[in-house]
Amino acid sequence: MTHRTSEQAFAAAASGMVHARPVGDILSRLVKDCVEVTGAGAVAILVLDEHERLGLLASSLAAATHLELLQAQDTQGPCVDVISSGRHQSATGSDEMVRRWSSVGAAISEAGFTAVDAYPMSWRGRVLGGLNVFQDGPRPDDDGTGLVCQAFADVATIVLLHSTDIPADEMTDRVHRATAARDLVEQAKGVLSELHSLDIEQAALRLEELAASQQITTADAAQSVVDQARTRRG
Amino acid sequence: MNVSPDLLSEFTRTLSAQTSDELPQRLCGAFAQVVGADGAAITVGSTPSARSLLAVTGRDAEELEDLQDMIGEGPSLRAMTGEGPAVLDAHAADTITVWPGLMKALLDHTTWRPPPALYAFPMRPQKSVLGVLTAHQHDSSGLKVGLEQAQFLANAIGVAVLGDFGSGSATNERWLARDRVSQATGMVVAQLGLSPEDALAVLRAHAYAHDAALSQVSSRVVDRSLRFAAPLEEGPS
Repeated sequence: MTHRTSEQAFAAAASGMVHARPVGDILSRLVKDCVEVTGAGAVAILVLDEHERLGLLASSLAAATHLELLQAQDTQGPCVDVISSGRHQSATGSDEMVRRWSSVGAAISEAGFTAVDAYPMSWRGRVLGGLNVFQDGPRPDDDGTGLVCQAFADVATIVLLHSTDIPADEMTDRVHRATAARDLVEQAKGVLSELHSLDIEQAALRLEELAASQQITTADAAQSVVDQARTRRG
Repeated sequence: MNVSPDLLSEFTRTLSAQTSDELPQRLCGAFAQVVGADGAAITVGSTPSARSLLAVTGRDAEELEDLQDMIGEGPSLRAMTGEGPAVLDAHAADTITVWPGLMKALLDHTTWRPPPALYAFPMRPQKSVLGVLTAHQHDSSGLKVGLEQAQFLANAIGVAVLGDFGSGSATNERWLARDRVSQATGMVVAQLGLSPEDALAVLRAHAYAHDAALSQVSSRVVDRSLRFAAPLEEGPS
């Protein structure tokens, strides 16, 4: 490895793996590992692009690639449903798969898969894609498999987000401001609780009353309560 | 630099084996395990006086964070500047000059012998530092993965924490603990007429002197079994 300043090194780390390795490579590796760990027949990732079009991002097997492209083209299938609902989808046996996803369900069955699951890839309530898991043997009845698959979906989501332009700095700033605002409100409850021998729930109500009676925000009322208390004795 | 896909897969497998309902807690536990540490803590905040615990693997991790806040020095605070990982290695010759206050406190601490090594990584989802991920290791034998690899994981964990933030966080046990610290701070503001920063310092000093966690001391202040002033004359109103 060539020598570089820590600043450069961390700038590279912060921008994700995209510059070191194509994100597709990393996701391909993840779906293969998911197959290995869970014993599934095949695993693939379908995502929504910025124009809300479905696209294949990674697949562990050619048959799964075909099934994802079919889902994207027909806009139906387990991955389409997981993306629209944000909820885990599961179907076992040819009958159920055909009933739910007609020709796509039939194609999954014809490819030799006996069951299919799709796990949501979501971030802050937004579904970015789905991790599609195809079984070619008996469905594992171990509950842990679902958790492992969901963890793979979660990590794939983070990898994907890392490589895209999410407004993370703005969100970080919002988190810090929200946290500081929450602290101030809780401190004000503590002040009111102490001064008026109230429990915390009563103090919360008192703070709301103060804000309402003075027609100011809860945050402003909290600031004024804390400011008054600190000068009270000092 | 190369981020090993093996590391990412190991992290995923480890993550899936974590049992907590809280995502930050699972991320924290998986990180500690994957880097070969004995425990870890995730704190969120932009300044040393306004940072708070989001997840810890156990009592040691929590106390090590409290201790750094109390002393006002340590890798977790240094890492908040975003200049990369900060490490305290009790075996290193210059440790006592780099972290004089914290090393003294660690050496005084009866339960940690020898003092644990601390590895603190800023969590940077993008450029800004969201918080810090700190791992500790009792035998200071070194992490299983390089600092750059661990830093990558810390950034990725930052993305996940950011994504989870606000989703049901009001009921998160850690947030309730944090709220109690804020409420206790407010009570001490009222009891002693101090600024919130100074009131928090009083709580931290009390916790340190009594070998207790800040969260425990705060609970006692809120339930009125501990106070820092004579009872007030004002009755219930």
